[in-house]
Amino acid sequence: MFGKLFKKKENNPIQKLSFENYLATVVDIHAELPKSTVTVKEQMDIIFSDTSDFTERKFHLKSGRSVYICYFSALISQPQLEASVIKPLIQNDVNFRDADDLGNILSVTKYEQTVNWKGTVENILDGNIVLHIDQLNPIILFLAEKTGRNPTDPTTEYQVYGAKFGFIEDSRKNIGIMRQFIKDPRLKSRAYDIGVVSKKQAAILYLEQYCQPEVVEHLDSLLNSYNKEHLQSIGQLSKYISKHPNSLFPQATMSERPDLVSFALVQGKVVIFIDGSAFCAITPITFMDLLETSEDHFFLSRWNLLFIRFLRIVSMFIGTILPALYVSLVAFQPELIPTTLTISVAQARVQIPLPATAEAFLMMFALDVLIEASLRLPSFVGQTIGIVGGLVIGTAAVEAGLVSHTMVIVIAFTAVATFTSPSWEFVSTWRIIRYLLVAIAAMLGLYGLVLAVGFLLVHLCKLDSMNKPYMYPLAPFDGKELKAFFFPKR
Amino acid sequence: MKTNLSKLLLLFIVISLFAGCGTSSREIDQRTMILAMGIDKDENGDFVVTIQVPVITPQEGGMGLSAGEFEVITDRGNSVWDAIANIEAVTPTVLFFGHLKTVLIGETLAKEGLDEILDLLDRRAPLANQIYLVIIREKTEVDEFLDQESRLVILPALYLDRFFKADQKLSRSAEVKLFEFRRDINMKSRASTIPFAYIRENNIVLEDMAVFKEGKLVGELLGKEAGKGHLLKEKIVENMNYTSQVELEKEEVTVSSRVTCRLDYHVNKTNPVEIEMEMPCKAEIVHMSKQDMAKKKDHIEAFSSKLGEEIKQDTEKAINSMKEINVEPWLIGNRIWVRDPKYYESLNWEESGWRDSKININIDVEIEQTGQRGMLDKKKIGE
Repeated sequence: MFGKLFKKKENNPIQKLSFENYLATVVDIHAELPKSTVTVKEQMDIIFSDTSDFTERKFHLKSGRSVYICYFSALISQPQLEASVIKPLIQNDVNFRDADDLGNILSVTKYEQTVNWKGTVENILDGNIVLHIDQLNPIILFLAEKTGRNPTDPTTEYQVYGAKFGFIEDSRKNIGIMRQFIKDPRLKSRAYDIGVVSKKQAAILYLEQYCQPEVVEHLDSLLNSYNKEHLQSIGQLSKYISKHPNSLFPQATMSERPDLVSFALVQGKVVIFIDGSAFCAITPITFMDLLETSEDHFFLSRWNLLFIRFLRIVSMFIGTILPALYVSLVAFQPELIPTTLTISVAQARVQIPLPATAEAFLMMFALDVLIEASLRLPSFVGQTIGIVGGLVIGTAAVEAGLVSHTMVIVIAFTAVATFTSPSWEFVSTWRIIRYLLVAIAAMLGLYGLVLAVGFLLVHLCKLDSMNKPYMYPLAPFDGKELKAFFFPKR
Repeated sequence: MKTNLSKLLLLFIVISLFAGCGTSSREIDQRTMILAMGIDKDENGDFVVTIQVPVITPQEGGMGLSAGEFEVITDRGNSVWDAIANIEAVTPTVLFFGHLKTVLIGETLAKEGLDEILDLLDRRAPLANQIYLVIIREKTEVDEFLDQESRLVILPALYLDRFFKADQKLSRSAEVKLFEFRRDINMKSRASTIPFAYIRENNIVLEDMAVFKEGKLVGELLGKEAGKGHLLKEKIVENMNYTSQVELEKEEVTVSSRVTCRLDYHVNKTNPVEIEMEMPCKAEIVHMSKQDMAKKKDHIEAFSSKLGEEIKQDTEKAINSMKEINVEPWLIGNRIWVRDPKYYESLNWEESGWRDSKININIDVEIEQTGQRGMLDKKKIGE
């Protein structure tokens, strides 16, 4: 019956955009480069036509042989090119018989001969230099010098006690940072070039004997089989490795804090770094992992940790359920509210034109708009937005009779409670669930709310991250682990 | 994907069907919240129902109730339900019984019998069986009582609610909830009690207990007897107030005290039944007309035996007054029946068993605190 209703749309076979197709219109991508510098230059000019930062240099050796060098000027070290390539070539008059002879003249750490057009173009894009002496095989000089920065304070994950040190956008350097945090030969890393074209450098990092080998193998095969042209962000990769990409709950978490990552590594997790992202992905994770930060262990008293984790769990419940609970109590089961409070709520609501549900949606939406607006703006404007929005929503809306006092209290408390969770990803998840719960509470009251929370629990219990149950140690229940979560051993 | 979608659709259908189990949405401000309901009968035999509803108006500068913001609506009908329906016709929104705290019943009606009313209260689902029952004495009309503004608490219904919730330590009255009353009149002796209330000089007064047998008001326990009734039923009564005259060293001394008593009884299986009641009490002296009297042990002993005597007398008085009307509202018969049903049957409890029973009270009063904080006449250093 449902087959006709949900008939799959036929995919239109659109020809895929492809780097290889583009290159193939100019050259034979698998062919070797010609030995004549003139031909090479001509073809390079076509491939990189309309590319202003593509730089070419041509000169003659004393013997009269022409030399052709090409590169992207912003990606290489120009002084090094000058000192260790151009200068030796011009000053020495050697009759090169093959490309290997170049090694005696050039003071470059690494170079290799080109194999085919495809590899050569990829290397140029990667910031390397093609050096071609007429009638010799062109070679690639590895003189890429990419713009980097020094590690700075993490800006998104504030902590009171944690290290004032964050990752940068270079995966190799980030692994170096981690080596400073964990000095252990068992700290293993595997490198990948992800994206058929972009070949973005990525690496997974794990502590052997701490983590499960199957997780590493699984990730390894996943990363090796990534077949899209480009990989832009760590988020894309996290979605790619997630087993349940349609779930609202994140199955990997991100961090820019080396101390948090080292904590995760010791817990047996696998960390993925990619170039161009100051965040790394940590997987597998559980529900409980999203509620803890490495900083919790900084507390000198164990009771502080117990309190703060308990606080986060309670806040998570409040932040998710409170508006829905308010709606269902006010609209469906007012007998469950204490009498004097009922009278107060009724008095607050008596001149509000909107029903409680609409009020809740309005306020929640306004709150999310405020958060989103202040998030994307420079900090000084962001503060202004916060004040203006707070005033408008908090005071003016009540005075204008659009929303009631009690609703403002409920939404304000909800908003504050949600942000006790250390993971932004997790906060966003609960934010969506909050809307869904209010919607179902508006339709079915407390019955619906209980039903929805039940479904949510079923979903959470079914979910897994890299085959690790998401709700562990609650389901499957492990008393010792649960105790350790709230009250870790000394 | 197809199976997932069909599963979701099925789920949606099931949830929608189950939605019938939930009540429909109605905002707080669309309900007329009834806090107290009074039921009585007039001279023509019609039921008079009075409801008390808070008037919901927006508050300037903050929330909460202000004085006098309640309305009392009265209407009549052939049945209680008719009267309620008539009231519904004059209110703008739906009558909402979810917050009903107390049902006040007129003494006239109570004498005729509560069965009809209890049936209605019990059948209507929105009426919680946690509501308090109160009998309004004849000298006060039920609607007059509901219209009475207390100087202490804004709504009379809330006054009663707070009075009972705060567990007023007067031992002159005790709260009875609907389910408790229903439970007790379903026990072997088919008797129970409900507190009395009335208005005295513009004040709400809650004291004495009305005694019911088979749903009809048949007697009452006055003042301290009400406290003793609580002791006999619940086996504990706290903070009874006593003021006694004791002769100490040939002087009349007035002593006031607060007493907490417990009760334990043993049944000798004779016919008629003999009940041995052990009553250990703990007292605290709160006032003495002669300050230096509580210092000696024999003073304290003299006082405690006097106090014990008074408590015993009051208890016996309460028992005897109930024996006179042959009603036993304290579940004593039920307790005998639970332990030994055959023996209970042989007693013929309802007809003569209770009336002929012999009850011996052994009381033991211990003075826990004399209340004296310092020796006021002690010798000063250097004198």
